[in-house]
Amino acid sequence: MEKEKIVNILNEIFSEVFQRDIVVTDSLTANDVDGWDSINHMFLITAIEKKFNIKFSLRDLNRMPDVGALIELILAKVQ
Amino acid sequence: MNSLLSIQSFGIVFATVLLYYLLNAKLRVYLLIVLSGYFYYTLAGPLLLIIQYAVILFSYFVSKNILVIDKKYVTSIYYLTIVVAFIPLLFFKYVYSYLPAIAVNSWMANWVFLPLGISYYTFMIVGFVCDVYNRKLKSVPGLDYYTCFISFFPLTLSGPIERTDNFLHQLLTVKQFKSENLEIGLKWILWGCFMKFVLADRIGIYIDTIYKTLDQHSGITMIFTMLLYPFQVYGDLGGYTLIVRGVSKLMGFDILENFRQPFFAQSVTEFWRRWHISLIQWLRDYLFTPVSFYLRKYGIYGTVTAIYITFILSGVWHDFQWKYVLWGVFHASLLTLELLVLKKSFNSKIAKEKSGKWYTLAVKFCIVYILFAISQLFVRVEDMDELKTVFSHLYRGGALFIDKTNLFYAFLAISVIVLRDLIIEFKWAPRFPRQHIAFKVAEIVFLVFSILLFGCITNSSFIYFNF
Repeated sequence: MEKEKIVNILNEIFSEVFQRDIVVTDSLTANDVDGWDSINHMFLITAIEKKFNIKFSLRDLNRMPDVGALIELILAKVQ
Repeated sequence: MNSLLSIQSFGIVFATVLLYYLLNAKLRVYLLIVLSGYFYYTLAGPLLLIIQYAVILFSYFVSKNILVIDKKYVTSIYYLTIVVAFIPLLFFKYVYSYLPAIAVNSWMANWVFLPLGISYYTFMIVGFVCDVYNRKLKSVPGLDYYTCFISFFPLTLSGPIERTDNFLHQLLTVKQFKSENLEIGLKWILWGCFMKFVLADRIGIYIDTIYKTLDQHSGITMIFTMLLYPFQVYGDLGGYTLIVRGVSKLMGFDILENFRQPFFAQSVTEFWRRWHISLIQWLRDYLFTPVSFYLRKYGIYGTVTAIYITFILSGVWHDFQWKYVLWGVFHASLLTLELLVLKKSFNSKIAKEKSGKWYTLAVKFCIVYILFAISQLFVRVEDMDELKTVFSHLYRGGALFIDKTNLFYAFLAISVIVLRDLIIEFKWAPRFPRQHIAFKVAEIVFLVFSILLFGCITNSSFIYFNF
C-alpha cells in the first residue's frame, strides 16, 4: 500500500474520531490536536487496526511519537 | 518530618548547591547520590535505605542485561520485575502499619523510622523498567546515573514522579551556573513556602478543629469545611512541589510541573490534566494505557472498565480503605459521564471556549471545584463512620463556626493564589510588569513578609508524605 493512500485513510479516521476535519501530516503529534488524549488515542488505534486489518503491540504504542512514525508502522505491517 | 522545612535543611540544600557547581560532572552525580542516601537514611531509617538500594540494583541489573534482549521469555521477566519492585511498597503500605505494635517496637523501630517515599521511587523504577522494555529509552545509562535519578533527594518524599524522558537526560548533561536559575529557584521556593505555611497550614488549623469536634457543628460549617479543603491540599502538595522544583532549579534541573492552575478546569477530565499531573500521567502511561489496550476489542466498555480500574487503584494507593474505593468510583463515574454524554462539547476547542463569556467559564470552574471538593471529603474523613457523621450533620441547623484569625490569613492566601493562577491561566502577564526589577523585589518582599507574619511555621508536616 502506498503512503498517500494510508494518509487519506488516516484523514478519514482522525476526522471521525475527533468529529471535525483533520488533515494529518508526518509531524503531527497529540499536542497539536485538541482532544487527542489517552482515550481518543485508544479509539484511533482500534479504528486503524480495524481499517487496515493489522494488530499493534503495546510496544508499538511507544514507538509513535508522531503521525509519521505511525504511518511507518502501518506500512511495515501491511506489506 | 519537620526537619525538612527547618533552617538547617535549607542550609544543607544551599551548601549542596554551592558544592555542586564547584565539582566536575561525574563528582556532582556522586555528591547527589551520597546526599540523597543520607537524607533518606535520616528520615526513613537504615532498612528502608537498604531496600531502596536493593530495588535499584535489581531493577538496573534486569533492565541492563535482560529487558534489552528480543526474546519471548523476556516478557515474563519484565512482569516479574514489576511485581518484585512493588513488594516493598505493598509490604510497608498494607502490612507494616497493621503489624502488632510489639513486633514493630521490638527491633524494627531501630531500622525503620518512618516508611516514607516508597511509592514515589517505586513508580519511578517501574516507569524506567517499562521504558526500557518498550524501547522508549534508547540506551540504559550507567548505574551511578540511574541511582542518582531514582534517589534524587528533592523527589524522594512526595515526588513529582519524574520520568526517564524528562529528568534522566538532564542528569547526563553538564549544568552551568546561571543566575536566572538561582532567581527562579528562590522564587519558587518562596511561593512554595507561602502555599504551605500560609495557605495550607492556616486552613489546616481550622479544618482540624472542625474534625476534632465534629458532633458540635452545623450543616453550613460542614459544607464550608468541605469547600475549603481542596485549597488546603493544593497548598500542601502544590507548595511542596514548588519547593522541590525550586531546589532542583538551583542546580539547573527542570522538574515536572505537578499542578497547572487546577481550579480553572472546565471539566473533570480537564481537571485531571491539571492536578497532581505527574501521578496522573504515570497512571495514564503505565496502568490506563496497557489496560485499555488489552480491553480495546470491547470498545467503549473496555475504555470505561480501564477508567474504573485506574481510579479505584489510584484511590486504594492512598490506603486500603473503602473510602478510597468510593473516591475512585466517584471520579471514574464523573469521567465516564463526561466521556459518554459531554464528549462532543469537550472536543470543541478549549482555547475558543476560554475566550467565551466570563460567567459561563466561572460556572464551569465552580461546578468542577464543587465536585472535586465532594470527592475530597472521602479523603479527609478518618473512616466510613466519620463520613456518615459528616453526611448526617449536613442538614443540621446552626451558625457557621468562625475562627477569625486563621480564616482571615487563609482567605488572604486564597486570594493571592487565585490571582496568581488567574494571571498565569489567562496570560495577563503583560499587564503585570513581572520582569521589572521593582516588581520582582516587591514579589519577594511580599512573600517573605507574608510567610514570616502570617505563616504557621511551627509543627508543619505534609499530607502526601503519608502516601
